[in-house]
Amino acid sequence: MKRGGDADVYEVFARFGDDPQEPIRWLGSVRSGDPELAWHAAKEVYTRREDCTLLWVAQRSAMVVSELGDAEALRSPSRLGYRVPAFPGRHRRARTKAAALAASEVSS
Amino acid sequence: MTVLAPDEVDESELRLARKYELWSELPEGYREAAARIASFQALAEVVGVLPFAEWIDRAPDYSRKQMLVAKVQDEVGHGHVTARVAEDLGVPREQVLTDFVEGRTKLLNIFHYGFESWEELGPAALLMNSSAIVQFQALHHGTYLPYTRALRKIEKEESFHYHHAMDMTHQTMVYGSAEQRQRAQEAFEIWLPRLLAYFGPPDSETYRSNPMYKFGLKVRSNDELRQQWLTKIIPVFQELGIHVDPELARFDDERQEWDYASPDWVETKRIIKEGGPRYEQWRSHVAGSLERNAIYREVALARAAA
Repeated sequence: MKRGGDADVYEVFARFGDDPQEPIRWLGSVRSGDPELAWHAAKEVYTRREDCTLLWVAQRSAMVVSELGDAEALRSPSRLGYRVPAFPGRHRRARTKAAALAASEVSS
Repeated sequence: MTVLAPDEVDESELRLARKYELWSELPEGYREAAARIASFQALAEVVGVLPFAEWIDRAPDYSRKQMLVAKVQDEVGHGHVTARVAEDLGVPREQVLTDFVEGRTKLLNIFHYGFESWEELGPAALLMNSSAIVQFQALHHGTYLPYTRALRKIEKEESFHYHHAMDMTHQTMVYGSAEQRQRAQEAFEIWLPRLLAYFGPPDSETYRSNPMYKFGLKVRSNDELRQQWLTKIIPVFQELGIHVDPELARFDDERQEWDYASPDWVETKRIIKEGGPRYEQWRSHVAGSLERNAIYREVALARAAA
């Protein structure tokens, strides 16, 4: 990961519509010398049609963003296979199978 | 030629399937190509608004004025978002404007003109907006995601501009005098060839080897887009009561494509190179604005740096 670039670039995030469960979307960026003015610039540029219910701007240089090299560390299911629901299922089936095998060996 | 709808794009096509972000590893030459597209559009948005802006004061009624102001503001906003895309790729927005002011960037042919009458605005804007929409619908499937993200916002607003232009033309054609209707008819005939030329020269044999096309930054060929556009817009004008002379544009049922009067390519090239009727006025307007606002930019940048 790395720190974002230019100090006068602000990334713009918004939610549209009245559904509070709707995720906040990344829309793009604006350039401004001042955070409040950046918010107003974002409002003028990005909220011209749909009903915007939430608008955030964040200074790019204050953000920590992932890089290409972080991809592996971020990919949870392939790296941490034991956390997915199928894993305990497989675990249980393997145990049942082993027990059945042991039982059949005893009886033979 | 099979004419596809502009948004019927096969994205599994290899050159369009691989998408890029600003932080992706970009193929050699891709960054420059994407920056060229974004900065070129940023300039077109900002200059393209000037012929409309000068009619704000002359709008015949209040709601028309409101809609015209909204359109002009929208287009400047499109300039902002595309300039941001260009800036992130290494072309500062000041450079987009200074390259134009100092004659290093040429304008598309359609931005070299102004409007001579109020009745000209509707048909001209309708032709311009519909061609922009056809272009954007294709470009939406392009490979550079910050740009396609910007287009998402732009397309919504272009749809309003299209309907506004249609409404203006409708008002002239239904409630206007014979003289006003005639002006709308003439506007259509003057602007149609300009827009046909705006889509660029006929496809060469080698357009598929053009880097822009290979990178998936250009999604459709000039001729494909031109055909799609005619299919969309000619019936709209006919519906509005504009006469479409078959010499200008006619659908050939057998070949399933449009025949159209070839634009004057020599004149188009000359206009782009030497400047059309209003070129100098738009250029000096942008130069004046850059100069007037220099102090604000300096203060803002100093404040950001502090």
